[in-house]
Amino acid sequence: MNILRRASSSSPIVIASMKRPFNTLRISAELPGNPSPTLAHGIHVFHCPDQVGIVAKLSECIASRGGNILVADIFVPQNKNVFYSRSEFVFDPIKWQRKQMNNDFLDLSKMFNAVKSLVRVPSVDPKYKIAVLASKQDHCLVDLLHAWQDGKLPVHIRSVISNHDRVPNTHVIRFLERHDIPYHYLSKSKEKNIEDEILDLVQDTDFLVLARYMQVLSGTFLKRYGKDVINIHHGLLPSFKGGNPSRQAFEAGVKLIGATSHFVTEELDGGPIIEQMVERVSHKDNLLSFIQKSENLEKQCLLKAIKSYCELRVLPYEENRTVVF
Amino acid sequence: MSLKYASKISTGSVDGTGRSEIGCAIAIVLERETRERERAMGVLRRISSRTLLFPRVLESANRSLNTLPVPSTPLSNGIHVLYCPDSVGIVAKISECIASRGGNILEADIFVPQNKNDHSSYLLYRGSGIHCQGAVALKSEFVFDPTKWPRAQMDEDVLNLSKKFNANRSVVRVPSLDPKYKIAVLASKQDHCLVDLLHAWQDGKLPVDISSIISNHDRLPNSHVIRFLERHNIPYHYLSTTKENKREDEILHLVQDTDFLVLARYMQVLSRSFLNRYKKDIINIHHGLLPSFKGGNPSRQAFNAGVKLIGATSHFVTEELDEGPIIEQMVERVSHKDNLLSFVQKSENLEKQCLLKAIKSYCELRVLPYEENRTVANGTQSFEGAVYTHHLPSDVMEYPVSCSPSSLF
Repeated sequence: MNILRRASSSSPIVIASMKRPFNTLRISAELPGNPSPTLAHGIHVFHCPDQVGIVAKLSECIASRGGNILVADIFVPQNKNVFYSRSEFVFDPIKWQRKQMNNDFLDLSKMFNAVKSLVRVPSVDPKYKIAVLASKQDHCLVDLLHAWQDGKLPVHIRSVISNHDRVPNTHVIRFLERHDIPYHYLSKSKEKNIEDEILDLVQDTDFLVLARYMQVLSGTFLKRYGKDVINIHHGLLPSFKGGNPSRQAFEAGVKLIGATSHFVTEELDGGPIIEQMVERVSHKDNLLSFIQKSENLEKQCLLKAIKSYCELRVLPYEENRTVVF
Repeated sequence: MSLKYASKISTGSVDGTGRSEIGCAIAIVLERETRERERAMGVLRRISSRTLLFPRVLESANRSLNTLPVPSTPLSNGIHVLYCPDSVGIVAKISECIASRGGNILEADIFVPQNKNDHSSYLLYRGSGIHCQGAVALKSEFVFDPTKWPRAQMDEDVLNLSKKFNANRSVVRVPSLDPKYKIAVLASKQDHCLVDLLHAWQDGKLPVDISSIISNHDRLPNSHVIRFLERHNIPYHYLSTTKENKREDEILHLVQDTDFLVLARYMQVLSRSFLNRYKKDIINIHHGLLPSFKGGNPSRQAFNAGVKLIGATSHFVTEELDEGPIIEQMVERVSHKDNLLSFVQKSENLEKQCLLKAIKSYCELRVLPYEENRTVANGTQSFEGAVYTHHLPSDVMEYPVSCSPSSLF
């Protein structure tokens, strides 16, 4: 209560909305119900070795700056000395400047020897810049572009890169032209290695999305790029790795098919899984309906993975797993 | 046969009050000449006229139908499953046979697998007249008067039909009259599946006769399982196994008189020789979503792999480990919040449900072999296809890269 009183006394907005004497202070947890145009939304993720008092310090930090925590997810796996947290909070950007926020969290990350400490204010920070790689199949690409157009994908698409040439009057090309997004067709030139070409094009991105890109990216590429690459695989990994998983599933006679989105590692279809979705199939399905169901799942699964990633919900866990808050 | 798509013919069913709805909800997609249509209509007309012979219909009809006798015996339910090479007229003949004996079809499911070459299936759809080669599976559920259609006569009629259509398989079953399927259950140390199976059987949910439990794990006399079995007079056979000796001869001897076997977490691999000698179906439960995580400890494998969905698979046993035709699969979400224990718990829960469902479906003749490694199986709807396996030919065309229908035309 002390903290809240201090917070409210220093916040002019609270005083302005108060219609009664100061000492009958309302719990500011009710604030989120009142839309206040000057409050901003922040997300903080924290990954560090476990010890007593982390949550206390984190929440104190946020509260001391007048921030109000809306959501907090903490995960401490059993018998493992590691701590994960993700909190969403509202704050007054005038009272808690972005630079100050960065410093505050930096102090905390030093205090706890954090592996990762990220803070993001989506309304203020620049959107994540991505490049999308695709091949001939474009259902995932198209779905991604439309979702982005509808404002459902909070990213900035720098370019679309493909090893398949698309003619100017295709839906994809016209869409990209309308939105000023360059389309790069990777010609198989002898002088330049394809991966070098891609690396040049994606220098200025935060992460990559492989939307049914059918070439395998080498370990060297991944090391040189250095940042995350999200892929969609239209099979329920670890089943049906590699090509044509729908056909593999069809021939295996499974009753459930799915899609998996995951981070790309050197191993084909081997990286940490972010999201999986599944749908029932039966004898009534032929190969075509298997493929159609797979494609439908793929689109949803990839979109969900990208959204989760942008909202800082996905964190690496152990060697080959993820925490998805 | 011109039917190309799985379809369901159902007439109104007779409920306890004796009322019935004479309404045929037909959803057959006929793609051939009109005479097929006419023939089918003729059959249906005949069926519906035959339903007027049913006295229950008479009771509920508010008009005078003064030519109908009142039966003295209650009606029985019958199930017939036919699996044969496709040809024109199968549905017509079968439904005629049933109708001619006074049987009233309640449900029928027909499944004609499409041609493997999906291109030609499109051409077929557009009426180019290419005949669909392959097999057809047909399952019908009907009510009949056992005094009008005695069991032996039914067997003979069905046999005639199966000969006429060169059937691979033709089974007719009257659950209320025929003896229950006899099964033996094999288990190892883990008994959650076994216990769940036994309880379901006790509750009458599993329409089988459990002839014995066979295990390579010794159980003490005061354990829940042993006491349960004693109460119900089911013998428990402890056959310890070693690397060298899997006791298969003894097992074979014990299961001579069974209709099929259930492996409820039996951890020994049955050899090809055993399978060849037993010859009948064996249903296994695997606590992983096949073909992922074959072999031992699939929960741990799944946990280490970091998947977000885990599942269980029930399937027929073949000589390859965890490879046989799949009958049923179930799945559940997991996340970082799950530890190995909760993975295992969720798996076990799924296993129990999945195995039970598979056994039930099998007993209801819903499971038939289909293609090399697949099953036609359908739980909640009326028809599950067959688990019939014959390999896809190796010269099947590679599926085109762009597979949306519009691009084919």
